[in-house]
Amino acid sequence: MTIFATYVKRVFAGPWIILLTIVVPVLIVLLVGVDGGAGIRVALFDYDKSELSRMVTDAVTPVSVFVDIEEDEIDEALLDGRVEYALILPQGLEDAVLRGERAGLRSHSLQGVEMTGSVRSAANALLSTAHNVARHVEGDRDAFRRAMGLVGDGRFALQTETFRSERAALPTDQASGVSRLVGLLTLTMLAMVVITCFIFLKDVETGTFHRTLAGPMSVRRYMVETNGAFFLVTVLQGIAAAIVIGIIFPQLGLMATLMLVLVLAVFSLVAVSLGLAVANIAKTVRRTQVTVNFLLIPMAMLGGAFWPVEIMPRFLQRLADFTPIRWVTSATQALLSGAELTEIVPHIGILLLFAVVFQLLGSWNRVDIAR
Amino acid sequence: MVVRMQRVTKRYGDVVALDNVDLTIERGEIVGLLGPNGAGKTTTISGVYGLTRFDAGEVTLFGHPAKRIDPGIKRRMGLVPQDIAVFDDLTAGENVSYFGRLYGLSGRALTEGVSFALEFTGLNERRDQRPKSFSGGMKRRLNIACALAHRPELVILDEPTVGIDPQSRNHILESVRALNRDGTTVIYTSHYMEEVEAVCSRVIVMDHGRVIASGTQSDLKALVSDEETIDIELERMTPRVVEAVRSVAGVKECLPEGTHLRITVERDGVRLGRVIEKATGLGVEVLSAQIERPTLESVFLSLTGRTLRD
Repeated sequence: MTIFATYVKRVFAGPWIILLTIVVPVLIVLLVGVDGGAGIRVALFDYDKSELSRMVTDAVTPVSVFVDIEEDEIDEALLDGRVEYALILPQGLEDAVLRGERAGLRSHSLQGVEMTGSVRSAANALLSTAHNVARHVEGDRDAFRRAMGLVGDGRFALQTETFRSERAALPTDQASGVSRLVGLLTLTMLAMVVITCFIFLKDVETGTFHRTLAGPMSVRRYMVETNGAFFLVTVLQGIAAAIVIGIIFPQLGLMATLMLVLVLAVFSLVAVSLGLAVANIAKTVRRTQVTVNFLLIPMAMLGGAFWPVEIMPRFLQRLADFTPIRWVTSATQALLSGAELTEIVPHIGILLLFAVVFQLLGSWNRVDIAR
Repeated sequence: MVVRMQRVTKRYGDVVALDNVDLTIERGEIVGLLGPNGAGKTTTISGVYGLTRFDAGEVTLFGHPAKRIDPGIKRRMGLVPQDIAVFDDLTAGENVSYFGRLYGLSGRALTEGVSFALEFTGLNERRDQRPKSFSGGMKRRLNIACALAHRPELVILDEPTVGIDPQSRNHILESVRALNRDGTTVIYTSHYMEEVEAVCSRVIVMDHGRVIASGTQSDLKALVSDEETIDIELERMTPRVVEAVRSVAGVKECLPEGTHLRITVERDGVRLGRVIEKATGLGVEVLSAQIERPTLESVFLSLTGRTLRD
């Protein structure tokens, strides 16, 4: 275990590495996690200014952070992330409901982004109640408002969790927050790729790599121990982040948290293997820097580390399947939706396949050197 | 016998790196592998250490065939590579400890081995410092220390003094002699013939992948010439002094050049003291005296037609 222990020590030799590998992921979890629990950024346009539209606004307020924009800015604001959901209460909403017409709310959100479910469900539930009440008051506006007032007083409970799957670990908005969080975490774990690359290349440049292999040890043992060291460090990243996620979102439960640890652990192996592959192919520090820029960042973007894969064009979504981050985020989404371990096994299997391929790319030359 | 190579050949494509090399190294020797860059020195020691597979021939280490060097044999050897191969992000002590553990040391043996290696190379005071703060000479010494913690029976030093100051070079050469006094067999490669002359008990001269000469320094020098030249500077030159020196047994020729006498003698056949006695006996004071012997450089020049640094 000489090489294993030494490499773990070397990875943690600089304070900046500890900062990058442990502190930053935990900070991301804390910052994004807390922010994720604060509510959905909603742009609300009330053109009706009626008692009903005020009640709809009140209903969505607990799960929303209202953002002030113009209606013609909605698309742009959704794309640049200033708002996540736009809800438009059209003029004549209350009148239409009183007439018994199926007046709907107009809303805007990015296709495939499910984090806005709580806002939508709160608004729709109240509107559904309003339709029910309207059927019984026969156009009497005063009676309608009194009845709706009783709803507002809490004498009728609104079922706002109808959108949540019974087996889901978290409400959809929180689940989306955690999923987004894991995407960002994969970025910090990919930093391990860079560290792995540079440590390995430095060893080749200084000759310690060859000197080590010249000693009484096999190439296989060298590879197992170096991989193990880098793997341990990356796994610690994942475990630390998963624990903090578990603390911030206790509803997640122990089983889902453990499965998240498992997914991140497997991704750690992919990250380390990718680092060795890049180092082996690039061969020099300079070329590695270029490779990292041209490989890792696009891979992270494509794989869903920055935004949901579903908002991308279909051909890019297919391309995303060839990135390991894609399988981490989709596995996370699955387990947050209440998936059993067996249901994320395919995701883990594909991640392991990535690890094997990267290991092969990262090891062939070293075996050759040893020969 | 520690190392035996028989008819060893190694090719890199069309280039013949080693061409039917035969050599033996006995226990307790300091053997210098002398030759210019590209002579085959590093390929030879790489093969001895199991880092290079030869295309033909046989190698035995400590009496065992070296086709697949087992870890037990490797633990009896220590390699000091030509490049300074130490970890910049570990301290000197951690570096030595790393290689010590790699070669099977643990516990008390490791502690003692690390202390020995650092003490031996004069780096004990610096054991908690990282090599990036070291001078070139200190890095070279650390490079050597990393090969010594496990107290190998055979140490291979590949150009261990490249690019360092004379003081550090002397320290390293003295360390090599001290290692040998403790019973360690040493293979020392260099293209600095002064170093090889200073430390090696036997020299193997290589060129173009072949062993072109092997033996003690005297053996090799005898290949070039059986004569030496003595140059003495006299207070004044007289014909009687010239005649008196010529009469000394073993003197082949004696030529006066101003106040200098250039005397050609049989190698190791004439004592300088006898010549000086003859001059002073005639009342002529000797101001200086110098013996010019063949060097390994001249041996190499004679054998190959070029200098070591060509």
